[in-house]
Amino acid sequence: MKKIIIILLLGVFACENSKEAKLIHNLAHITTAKKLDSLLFVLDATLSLEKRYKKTYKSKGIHYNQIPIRELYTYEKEGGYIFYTDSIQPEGKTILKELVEDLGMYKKEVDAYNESDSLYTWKNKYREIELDNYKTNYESITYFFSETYKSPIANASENIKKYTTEPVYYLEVTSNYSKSVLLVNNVNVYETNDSYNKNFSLNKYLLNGNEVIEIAFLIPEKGKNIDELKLDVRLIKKIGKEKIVSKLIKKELLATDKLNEKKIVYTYENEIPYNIKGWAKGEDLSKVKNLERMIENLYKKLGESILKGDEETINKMMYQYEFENLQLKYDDSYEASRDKWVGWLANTLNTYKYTTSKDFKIEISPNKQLGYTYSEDLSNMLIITGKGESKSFDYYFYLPKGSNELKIIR
Amino acid sequence: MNYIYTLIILTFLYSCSTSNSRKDNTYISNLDKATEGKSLEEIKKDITETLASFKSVLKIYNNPLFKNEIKDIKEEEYEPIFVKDETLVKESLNQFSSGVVFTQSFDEYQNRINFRFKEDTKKAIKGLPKHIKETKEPFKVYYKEKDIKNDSIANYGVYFGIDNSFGKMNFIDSIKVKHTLKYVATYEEIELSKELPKIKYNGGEIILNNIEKNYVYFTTSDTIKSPIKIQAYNKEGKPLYRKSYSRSGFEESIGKEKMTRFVEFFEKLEEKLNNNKFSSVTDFKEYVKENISALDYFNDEDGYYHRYLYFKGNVDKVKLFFAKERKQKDTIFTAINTTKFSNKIMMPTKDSMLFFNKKLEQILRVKNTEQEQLSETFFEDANYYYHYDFDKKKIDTVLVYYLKAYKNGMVVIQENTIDDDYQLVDSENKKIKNKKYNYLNEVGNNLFGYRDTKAFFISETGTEKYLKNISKIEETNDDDISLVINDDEGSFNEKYGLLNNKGVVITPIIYARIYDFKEGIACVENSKGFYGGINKEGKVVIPFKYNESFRFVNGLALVELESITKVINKKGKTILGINSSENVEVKGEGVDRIFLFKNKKYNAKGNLISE
Repeated sequence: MKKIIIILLLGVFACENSKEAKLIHNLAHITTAKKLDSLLFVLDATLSLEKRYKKTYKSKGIHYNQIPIRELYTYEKEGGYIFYTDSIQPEGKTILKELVEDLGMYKKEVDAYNESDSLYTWKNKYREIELDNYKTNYESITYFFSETYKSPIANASENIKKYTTEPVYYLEVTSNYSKSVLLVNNVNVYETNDSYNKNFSLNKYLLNGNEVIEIAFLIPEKGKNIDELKLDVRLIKKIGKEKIVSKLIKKELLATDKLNEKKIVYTYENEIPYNIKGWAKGEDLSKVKNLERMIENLYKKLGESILKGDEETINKMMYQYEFENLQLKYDDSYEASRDKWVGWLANTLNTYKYTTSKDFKIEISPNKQLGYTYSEDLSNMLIITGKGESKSFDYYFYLPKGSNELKIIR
Repeated sequence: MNYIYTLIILTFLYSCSTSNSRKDNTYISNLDKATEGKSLEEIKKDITETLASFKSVLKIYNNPLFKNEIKDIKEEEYEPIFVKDETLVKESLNQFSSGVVFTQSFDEYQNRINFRFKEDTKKAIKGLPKHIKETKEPFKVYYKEKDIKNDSIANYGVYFGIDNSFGKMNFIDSIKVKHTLKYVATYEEIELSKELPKIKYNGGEIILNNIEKNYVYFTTSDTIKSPIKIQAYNKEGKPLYRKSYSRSGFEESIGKEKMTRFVEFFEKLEEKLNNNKFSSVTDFKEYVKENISALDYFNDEDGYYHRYLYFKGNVDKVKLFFAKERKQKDTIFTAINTTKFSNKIMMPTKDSMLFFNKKLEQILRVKNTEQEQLSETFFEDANYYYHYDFDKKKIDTVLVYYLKAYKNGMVVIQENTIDDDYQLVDSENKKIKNKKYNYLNEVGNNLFGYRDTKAFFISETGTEKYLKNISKIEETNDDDISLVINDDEGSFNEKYGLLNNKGVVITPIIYARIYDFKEGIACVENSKGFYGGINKEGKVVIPFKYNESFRFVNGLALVELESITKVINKKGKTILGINSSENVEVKGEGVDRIFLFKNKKYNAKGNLISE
């Protein structure tokens, strides 16, 4: 039976190139791990599939669209393969030209070590190809098969919207107060008992472009003049590599319900093009009964799903979080969302226990919709542990209207 | 089994580069091992793989980096003057006199013995030149049950620092070992130079064909044995280093030529195998045996051996040292077992891990495990930590972030993350109350924990002892003794003391410097700049009156007292230079040390040897 399969497979490869009897295995057709398996079987039927990987083949029948290949080297199982050619081809044929014809234009990367060398790359969700021709009459091609996943997180990139202008806002703050609180759109961003000089990325607090953004500081002042504040705030709008110092259009000093506290408020016109759900339709958390238990359940559920490798629950709990985090960076690359999912899979593989905080302080943002917790008994709210591996998690959460389960959002 | 072919090639290359014997056919006997139980098809695969690896070696010879050329060397490199064997032999035989110990473990129902020097467990055996043949052969094994074995033990290995197989599983008390050296007692020296290019020797002749800059080419009749040593000298008579790119140092021409011929031979073999030219494995072996000897490089057609040598300097003359008289010397030493056996002795077998009590009765068997033992009761594999309950014959998985066992038997865990404090646990996997540390530091065999910037000594039972006024702890060359340091007065004014393996400060932390222990005594500098000596109990045994640091060798130390050098023994008694304003001088090293005092010579032990 085995022999029959070999003959059949040989037949398939031979038919592809019946004109040129010597060149029978065309690597231009080896585009998936399965096809590579079949080729390796034909080249080396006596070896098991496992052994065929990490092996070099020098069969004279291997070619790339009629360009003979000197050597074919396979990576570990399903990783991919490398092949080389090193002889002058008739009519100036090169694999580079063939690849351009097959796959379209490449991306050229200059070698960081030797600027005269460059790599030609073609990347998509299913494979990555690198061509290196640093020597004359020599081409080395590395062909990797990328792992693809069906989970929503892994494919979040497909739902990311791209815009002609994609601004990212930063706030540069120098505060000389002994303590202060920074709020963006009534969400607690930073609270400290010290003076500081820091940058804050604002996009994660911005849900759409229709808002007038309010940046506020709670500061220990009594009746100071607005121009004498010990505070320096700059808003930076970054579009691509261009940095623009944006105007904070309004500034006012307001009283709060605390005697020794004032609120200084800045506003600016927001030009964010995306529109994400975020916590916009969240319940007033200050009115939620059993919030503490809900928080405990939230982290317990996440810990449990990681421990059990429950991919469905992880996707349900974390998709919106991962999606919005990519959208606010306008990152629609398949690698980014795949990496996010690979990270979660690694968590499930390496974890043999999880620990959740039992003693924590709840902080509800002034908008009442977004909550955050500070663990008092652990370093973080959730810690997952494996042998020599651990990860910690703390999230902003909200309660969708009508739901009795909190949702992780930042 | 592929490596056997490699071995065949290497033994061939090696034997031909060091001896002229045409009968040195170790590589042929290896052939049987290489083909044992194999089909021709399997042999073919082995040959192909070996060929590929040796072809890549051949490429190295062609690398310009390794190419030799005749050139004027501006910055010469000098090697030591050739030391005759007698000195090396004396040192080698003497090296075991300070005591040898071993640890014992078990593997596949066999003893595993690991030999070490008693005084310095990290010390390696003294190296000897290739032509001195050294053997260490056990001739009596004393077992715990008073049994003595002295037959069929000669093949047990006595290699230091590695596990040696030592017969069937049984507790060994001590091992008597005979250490033998076969060496060249006297040499014949032949000098070649431009002025003296041809010499008749031993019924043949030695001809210097060319001597130019860094290059020497000479031939010897093939009836003359290889010289033990070839040393080249520049005009000032300084010995020059030989240029070589491999540890064995054989000439490029020999290595490359042989390798090329081997590759050719293997290619021929591969071709014959591919074309089914052999009817059986025996047929294949016969062919190899018949044809491999034809490769012998020294079957030179002109009756001479040719040597092309390159040196790291400009050569004026060459000296060849030929063996004249060979001798043998031996000594006997007893190695003592220092293993502290627990009541859970582990022994791996092919498919299981077995545990024995001190009576060597099996108490537990764990099948198909790849676990490694961390402590008496804690184990690990790639994914988990485990705790063994031997009484209940139960294995629990220990789900913690990190677990480590220290040499004193203590085990610590980090519960969840790398940021957690280190918690001490006992051998039953129970947390020891209030024993958490920010970090731990193992110094030699001693364990220290740090909590809120305070240092604690942690005993083998887990009790802690606060170490007052100690800011740093460092190693000494005795694993049981730690150097404790107080830097309260700044890093330029550190004070040193010693702490033993019970956590007791045995030498107060008041000294400016403490040197390594040599023969049981460490030289110590006090705060006034005087030097004395302390023993391993921390007691001052040499008073603080000397002006320079010293170290004991063969029981004696050269000291300086008020600018006069003298020799003292370990009791601090002056042996040479009493009440004298004349210096004692020292020459040589180790057992060859000679003291010169008032025109008299004294040996390494301080005894008068000549006027």
